[in-house]
Amino acid sequence: MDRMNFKDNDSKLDALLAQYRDAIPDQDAGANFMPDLWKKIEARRREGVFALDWLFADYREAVPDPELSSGFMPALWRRIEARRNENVSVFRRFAQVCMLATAALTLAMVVITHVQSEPVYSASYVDVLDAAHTVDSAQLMDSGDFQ
Amino acid sequence: MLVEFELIERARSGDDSAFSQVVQAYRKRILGTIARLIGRPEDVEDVGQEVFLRLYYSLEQLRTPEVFEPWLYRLTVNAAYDYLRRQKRRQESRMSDLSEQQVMMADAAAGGKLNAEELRRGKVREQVEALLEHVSEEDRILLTLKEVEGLSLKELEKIYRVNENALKVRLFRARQRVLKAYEAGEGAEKEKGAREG
Repeated sequence: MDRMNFKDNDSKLDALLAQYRDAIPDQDAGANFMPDLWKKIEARRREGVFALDWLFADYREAVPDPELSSGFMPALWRRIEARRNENVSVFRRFAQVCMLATAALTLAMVVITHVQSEPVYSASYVDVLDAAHTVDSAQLMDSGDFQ
Repeated sequence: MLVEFELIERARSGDDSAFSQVVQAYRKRILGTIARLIGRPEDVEDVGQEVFLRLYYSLEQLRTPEVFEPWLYRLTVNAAYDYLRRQKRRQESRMSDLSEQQVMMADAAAGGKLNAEELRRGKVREQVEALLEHVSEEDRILLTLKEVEGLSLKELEKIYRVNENALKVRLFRARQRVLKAYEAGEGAEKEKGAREG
């Protein structure tokens, strides 16, 4: 019996809801619906934008320019000095490396010169030239062209 | 300009007392900008000294004193960027990384020492810094210079040496990202409020 009643009520409720749906049909929006919607979206967006602007302004105020400590300038000059010394020591190191390289090169050239000091030719350049000239002169005299 | 061109010229030609005067004139403004760019009060002076150190060694490259301020801001941007990059690397290697300021705030809040205004300021700082986490370090700096420091597009153009349109696009995108994060945060706050209420 109860089950019958429940079924009955269930279908009655369905019917009631269907009637309710019919009583309030889908309705189209008025002509202003979309423009109004966009206005609201824009207002909401602007509200967020302005709120963000206010927040940034508050932040500017919440983090004021700090009070400076008395040690600021001395510490700055110490750092400038340290950087300057660092640069000087780099330059000095570079100069030392250059000097060492020059000394090594000079030493190497001395060694090479010493090794090559053995004469390659048995006669000097002047001797060789002289010998060649003698031959040329004898040939000229033999040919009778020499006057 | 906070100083005369002549003072900058003297500093450029190696006059250390002129350089000191230039630093004295600009340091408060520059340190304030750095404080808002990096969000860590305990490191502000260190980054500030790095800026002026770079200035000292690059001053002779300055073409004319007229471009001094954009030049100084450029050095500030670069130093802040280097700092944020280093911080990011450090944070990646650590699980939690509260700044001294945050620890002090938390301690003071726990001890009931902070007044309402200090608490509000602390909250604003936290909120903005959390929002700026949603953009890259470059965009964070750019957005802060524009929105918080109030620099104009023309000034930013001189600092970054890129055209205004490119800056506009970049700023718009960065701002949209921050705005989105802000709205998401607001939504979450409202939900939390509704649940609690």
